[in-house]
Amino acid sequence: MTLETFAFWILAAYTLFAAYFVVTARNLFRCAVGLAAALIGIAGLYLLMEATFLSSIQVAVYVGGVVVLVVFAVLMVEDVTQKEFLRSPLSRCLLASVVAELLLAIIAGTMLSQGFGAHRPPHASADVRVIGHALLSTGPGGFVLPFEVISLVLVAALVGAITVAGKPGDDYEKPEED
Amino acid sequence: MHPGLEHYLILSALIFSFGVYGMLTRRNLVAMLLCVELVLNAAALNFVAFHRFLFEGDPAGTVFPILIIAVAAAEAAVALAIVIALFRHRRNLDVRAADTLRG
Amino acid sequence: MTGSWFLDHLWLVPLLPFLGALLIALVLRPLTSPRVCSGAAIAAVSGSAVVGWGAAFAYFAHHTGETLVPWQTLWLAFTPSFAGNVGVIADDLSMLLVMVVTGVSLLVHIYSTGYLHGEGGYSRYFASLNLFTCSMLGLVLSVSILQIYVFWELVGVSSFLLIGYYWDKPSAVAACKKAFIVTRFADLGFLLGVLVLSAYAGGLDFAHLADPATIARLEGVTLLGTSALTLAAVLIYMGAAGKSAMFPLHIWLPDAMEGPTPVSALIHAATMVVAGVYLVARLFPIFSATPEGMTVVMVVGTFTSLFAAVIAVTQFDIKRVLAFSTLSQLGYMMLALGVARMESPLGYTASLFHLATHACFKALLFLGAGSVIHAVHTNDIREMGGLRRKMPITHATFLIACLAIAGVPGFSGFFSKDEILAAALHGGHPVVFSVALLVAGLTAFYMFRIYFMTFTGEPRDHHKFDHAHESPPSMWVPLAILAVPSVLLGFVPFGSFVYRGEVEHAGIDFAIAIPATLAGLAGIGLSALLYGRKSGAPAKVAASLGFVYRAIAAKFYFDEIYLFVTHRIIFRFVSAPLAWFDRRIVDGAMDLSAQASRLGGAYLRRMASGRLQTSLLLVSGGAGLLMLFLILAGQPLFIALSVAGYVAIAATVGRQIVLLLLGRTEPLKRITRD
Repeated sequence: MTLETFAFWILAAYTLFAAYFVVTARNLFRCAVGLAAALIGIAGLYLLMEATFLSSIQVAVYVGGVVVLVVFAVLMVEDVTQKEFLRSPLSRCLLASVVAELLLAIIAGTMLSQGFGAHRPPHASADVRVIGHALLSTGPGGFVLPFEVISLVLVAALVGAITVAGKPGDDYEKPEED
Repeated sequence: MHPGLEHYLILSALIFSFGVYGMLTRRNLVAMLLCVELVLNAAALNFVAFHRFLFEGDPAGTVFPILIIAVAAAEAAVALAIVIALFRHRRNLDVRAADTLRG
Repeated sequence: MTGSWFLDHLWLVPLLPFLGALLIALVLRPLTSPRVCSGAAIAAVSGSAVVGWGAAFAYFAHHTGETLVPWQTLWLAFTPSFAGNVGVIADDLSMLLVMVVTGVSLLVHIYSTGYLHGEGGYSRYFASLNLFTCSMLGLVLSVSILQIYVFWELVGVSSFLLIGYYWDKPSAVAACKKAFIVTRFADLGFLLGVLVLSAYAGGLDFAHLADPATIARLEGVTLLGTSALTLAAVLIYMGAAGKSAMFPLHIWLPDAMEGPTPVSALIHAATMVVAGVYLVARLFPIFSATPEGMTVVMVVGTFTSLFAAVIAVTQFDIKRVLAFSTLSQLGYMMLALGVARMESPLGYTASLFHLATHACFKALLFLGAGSVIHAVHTNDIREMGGLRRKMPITHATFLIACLAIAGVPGFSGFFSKDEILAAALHGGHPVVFSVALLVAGLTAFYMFRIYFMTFTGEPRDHHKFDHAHESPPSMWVPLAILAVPSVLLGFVPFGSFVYRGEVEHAGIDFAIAIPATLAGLAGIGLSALLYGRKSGAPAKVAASLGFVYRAIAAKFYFDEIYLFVTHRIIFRFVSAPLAWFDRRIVDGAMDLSAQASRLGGAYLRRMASGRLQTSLLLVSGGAGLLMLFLILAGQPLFIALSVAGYVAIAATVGRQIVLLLLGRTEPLKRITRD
């Protein structure tokens, strides 16, 4: 067993455990922390696959940006440390697990039936330079259009978020009137 | 046993199904959002795995996770704005209470 | 176009009464007084009569023998070549009928204002009367057989409304239903005939149907082992026989006397019942081409005329005597048509001549009878008598009408009957001729029987007699007006106006006129002998005839036979199983589908709960199942799943069917939101 193999199994177990925690934790704040842990585990897996740039983005943007945003929101809206939120009824949980397992079975079955196992190239993933060229290239295999679209999406999302969350509209019910 | 493509794919499928299960069972909107992030990451993991093991020279496998991260950020921003608005309006984030679309 | 304003605007004739009916029913009746309604109705019919008579005079003055179509438009184009027009036709036949219908209708409208004065439903009555006039005029002016069929049914409906005018009287309700159902049943034949005829002739317009080329083409066609032409003619004749109350479809007409008497005068004497005669006359070229069809027309007509005349002798209800007399006279017209051919069309002219004269004197008789009934409040002639002194005008006009129908020389009925008899004899039908002669005698006998019992002798019911009085002017003026053509119409040279083929005017043939006159006078004399003075003779005669008399008085038990056939046989063995089938199977299938939709909807409704996670669950589960099916398609598991699905559906439907057959399904409810 090489170090890489060992690292994979450790990271896989860790990520799965964190994901499980996200799904089952009874407290919103813990969920967010669990997500951060899972994302870090996935960043580790990227590293294992020699996608170093992705791994750093995953940690910096995802964990440092998105998850922190979520945590802020959580802290804004609810007294998270004290409140445990409601659980779905058992029937719903069973149904959901059936659906999830069905999807899992289909995906896993499809993946395993393709015969990917034999192929394994040695190493060397795309480095930052290649990624940067690809993102800004207008030629074949270039991604400049998705790149610009995604930047537009981001701007729109930010403006929209400010509009939605910014000012209370007419339908705002003042707490003292409740 | 040395980890191959299939290992990563199965792992991502597991994370995906965890995310689906969470989306279907968590009754808090923010928690559902977190589960959606799990699903997105499972997809991104698949991209990287395929890139690593099958399409070595093609940068698409690394570009797409970046785009996914950007989309996730946008999604998180909008979703959280909605969550805040909803919370202001209802003082509650229970998804079962939000059924104005009922037919 | 035709040089006459009236002819060009012939379409106003049916339109005006229709507008009148609409106006009265929708505006005037709720908003104004009954008097305004009757005024509007009379105005509408007057307008129609002015246009109609103007058009008729213009036609007979300048266009006799031509067929004009002042207005028509394409109505139903099934295929470019197979299309039905709607419009108004102007030929001798339609113009004659327009004159009769508008004239009698106008007089009946006026008469009704007096007869129904102060009764409930007065405005409704006038609306219905206008509607009837409209449909009858539309019928006689039709340019295509499909248009005739539509107006034919409209006539049936408005007649239904009018017979059922006294809707709080059960017998009137039964009578209007009976009239409608019997004629409707006959119209089934008419419809089939229309279909057969138009399908083989390739058109619906009379212009096309009456074309000799079309008929020549049709003559070779066979259908169901017989000539298509004969089949079509007999089927159409079935409809005509229903409306004209020919045996054995005559049963509705005597009962229809439950309607107000002016209605009887209009519908059951002058207009609607002659629609059958009109129809046969309209399709005369077609009937003429099928000797078998004409034989049916002739035999049925002859038999009906004799059969009804025999029954009329025994009846005591004045209106029923007149009803059976109408049947008999309609049989006369039919037999005249039946003996006519394109080559010897005397019967055609005679039939329509008799139609016109009969319309006048029979309407007069009915209106006179109505005047009597109005005065004494009974229909039974055994309670009348001696009314001559109390009601001089009614008496005089009634006598004129009786003389006319009895065929006394100089009166209109004499000329038309004479022509019918001549047509029968010259057409080579001596049996028909002798039966018609016998009927002429019988007619004179029973008409004078009611005349003597009503107007002469001593009053039998003094209470009623004392109350009797002459009717108001609105009633006797129409009587007086109708009396004029009842006398004079016979002197019109009818044969040079209304004819088919060669004009052949016989004039008075004394070999026929003398026996006919003698038959009439014999009937009158016998009647005078038996009923002219008070005697026990009629009762003795009746007693000596015994069972025969009872059978005749019971109208040969035809109503009972019909009742037995319908109630005991058709209802029990045909209708009841059909009703069960309809309720349980047909309705049940509808209920089943409704219940299934409802249950399915109730289940599906839960999916649209508006909840995020439920939708998500359904979407992801559905996506998963779809992928599963795609992967497993064609494999045993997939087939097993499909079979299981079908079995589940079948089981649900089966459960519903079982519940349905047990009558346990819940009635459909409104779905309420919880």
